[in-house]
Amino acid sequence: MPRAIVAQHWSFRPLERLFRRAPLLGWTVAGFIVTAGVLHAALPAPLQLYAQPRSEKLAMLQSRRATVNAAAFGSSRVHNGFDPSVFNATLGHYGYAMTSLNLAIYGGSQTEQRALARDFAAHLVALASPPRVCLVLLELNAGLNFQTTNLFHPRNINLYDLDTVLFALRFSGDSLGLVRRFGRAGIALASGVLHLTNVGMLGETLFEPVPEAPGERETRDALLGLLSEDPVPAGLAGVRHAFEMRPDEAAAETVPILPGNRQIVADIASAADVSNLQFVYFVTPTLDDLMRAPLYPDSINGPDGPVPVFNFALPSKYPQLFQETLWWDPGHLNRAGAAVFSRLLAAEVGAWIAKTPRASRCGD
Amino acid sequence: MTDVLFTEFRFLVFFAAVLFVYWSLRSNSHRKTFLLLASYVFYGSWDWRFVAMLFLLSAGDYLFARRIDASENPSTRRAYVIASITMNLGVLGVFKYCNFFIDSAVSLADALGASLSRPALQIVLPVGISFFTFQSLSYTLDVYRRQLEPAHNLRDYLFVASFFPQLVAGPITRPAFFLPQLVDIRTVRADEVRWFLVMFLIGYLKKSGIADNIAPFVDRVFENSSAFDAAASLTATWLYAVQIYCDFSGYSDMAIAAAGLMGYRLVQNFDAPYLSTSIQDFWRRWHISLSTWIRDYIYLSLGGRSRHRLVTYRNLLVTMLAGGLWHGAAWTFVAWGGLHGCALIADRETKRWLPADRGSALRQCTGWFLTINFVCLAWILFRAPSFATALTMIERYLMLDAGGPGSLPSWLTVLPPALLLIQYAARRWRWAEKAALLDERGFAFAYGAAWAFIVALLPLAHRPFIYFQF
Repeated sequence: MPRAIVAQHWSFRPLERLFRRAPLLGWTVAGFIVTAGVLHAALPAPLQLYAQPRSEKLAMLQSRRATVNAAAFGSSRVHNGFDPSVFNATLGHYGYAMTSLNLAIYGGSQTEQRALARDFAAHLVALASPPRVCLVLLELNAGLNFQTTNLFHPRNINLYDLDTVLFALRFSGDSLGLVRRFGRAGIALASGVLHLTNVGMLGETLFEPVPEAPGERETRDALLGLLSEDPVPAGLAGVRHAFEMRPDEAAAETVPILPGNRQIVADIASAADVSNLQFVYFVTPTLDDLMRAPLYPDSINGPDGPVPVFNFALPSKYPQLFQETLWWDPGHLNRAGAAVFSRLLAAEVGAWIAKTPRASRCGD
Repeated sequence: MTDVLFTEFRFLVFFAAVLFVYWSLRSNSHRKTFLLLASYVFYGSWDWRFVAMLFLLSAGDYLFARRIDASENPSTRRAYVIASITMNLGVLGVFKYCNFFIDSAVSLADALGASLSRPALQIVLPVGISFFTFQSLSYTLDVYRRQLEPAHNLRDYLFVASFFPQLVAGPITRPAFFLPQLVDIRTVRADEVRWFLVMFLIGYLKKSGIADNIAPFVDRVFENSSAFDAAASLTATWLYAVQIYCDFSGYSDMAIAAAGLMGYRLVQNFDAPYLSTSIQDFWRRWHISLSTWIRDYIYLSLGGRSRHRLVTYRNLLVTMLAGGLWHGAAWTFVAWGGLHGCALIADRETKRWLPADRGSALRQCTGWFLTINFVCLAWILFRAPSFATALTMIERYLMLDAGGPGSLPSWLTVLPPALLLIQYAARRWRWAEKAALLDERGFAFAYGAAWAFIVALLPLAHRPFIYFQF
């Protein structure tokens, strides 16, 4: 369009006025930042607030803090797949008295398992009589952030303080695609901004939601945090389909270890003065592994030595896990599957403790 | 883009873009065309199919009004106005009341022993249909009554009928009020900009900071009324009174402010209704654009105030019943309207017998106390999903029944009176006006600070505006 016609219909005066008023906009931003900062300092922000599933698990930990010396963290795959009672009993056979909890949460992420595990480590300091072994079981293949649809969820906003944002930024590497790298960083940064500007925090504090009934299925003594769900037809159909499509052999796929995977261990260790706190990484299986089996190194360097990685996503190594009857849906084990998985995990952990002297000296 | 609410970040981005382009266009004609397109985009964010319906209704009324104005023959004029009424009420009836009337007929047949099968109609209610059909109706009726010149061109009328700030939940701005504003290019003074910015902020605070945070507590009690004790029922009723006021008046404030920032004026919709000292006073302060609409087009059409008291009261009752039905397709809404109609009649009767000393403090206080409690009791009918629930809630409100074991946090009981006191103080000492009078930097800083509070108060799950269902 010729410039004369544009000038005839369009005026740049509003834009000029806006620029002239930019300093005033600066005052508005200043007012916002100062007030948000004061509010941020004044508002309580413990992990328990604003996030019911997290607060339930923390309450469970609190009620058992005198005895618990091990816990598993991670996503729903752990929430449905780690049976503490089976794990405790199996390790008992190896001569290690364990009282473990399932502190994983549906939708859990690396950032959330880090936060919960730090809380757990801090609780260990208060143990009356230190046990022989203190274990933090971390899910290596949990996602980094919550899903984007949960960006405005209090559970997300409450979590992403500056430290967590910086932690999340360490889950990056050249091996990840551009979209994934910047997407991860973008969600973490956006969550951090929401956290620092207290989005919804005052409302959640003043109008604290009346809690729903606690998840009794998860907190019964025998389950110790395991979620045991009844089967649903859609889930079972997905399981059947995955086994029908199963190739003779899964294609192997090497998965990179990112700086954040190492940092999480250091962060948890530094959260509490517990010497010889032992870390174990495990890879939870899904039925996608029937098609593509992810390969991880056997261990990752931690601050106090190598952290073992037990990869259960290998159908060829753990065929007993990849049975149709053990799955709730293609992503989650059922109660029987949780027992098999926990037994296998305990066996691997028991053998590892036996050949690693420092592992059995908690509190020394 | 899916449905956009005023409180969403997407709306703020949309509105900022509209403001920028609007003020950058030089001619009034271009600005009006642009706002018309923006309004259709805004409405289309709910459902594009209904944009066509909005266009056809508006274009139909434009043509009817032209024909009415062009004709001198009374029967022709009447025929066109009837056509307009039929078209608007027909659309409203089909989309909003069809299922209601069918259900009522089937229930009546059941009660009489006959058996009728219930047809399964999947009718989607176009958002804001009650508002824009009433607005459009007032146009043809005003032209018919020779109280308004018809719009000069179709574009202008389409613009008036679809102006996005007031399209989906009012205020019901009559074309008689709005059309004259289209003649000259609009301007806004700096002090007006500040005032509208304050108004938008107050509206946002009411809607997001208060109404949406209160809603979950109200929902819990009304959805399971038998489980809660009498104090919780009382608190939930008061909270609902706050919720519906903050929700609706907050939306109106934002709509008036958004229009104001583009130089257009919308009518005032609320004037601190819970400070009313009588039911008549309440209806002068609550949803003013609707109450004046039903007064002018229903009450006065029925004859208004007659020499025979009973005729006047009949007109009043019919008007309020229609007003109740306008709010929702359920008998609870009709009963709510009827109750208010009876209260207005009682109000008039009382005033006939009481001495004329209306200014005494005791009388004002008594009037306020009775009015606020009546309005709250009537809100129970408005909110309750059924008459049975409403009855339970009313019994608890009046402490006739202790209720179940459930309770609400006790501080919530104090919240509604505290908010009312704040509103009283804000009006008495003109807080908003004083904020708009701060020097530029002080205003800018305070405005940012206020938004920091509002952001912290945001409910973390968006809830649709209550009035959208009407």
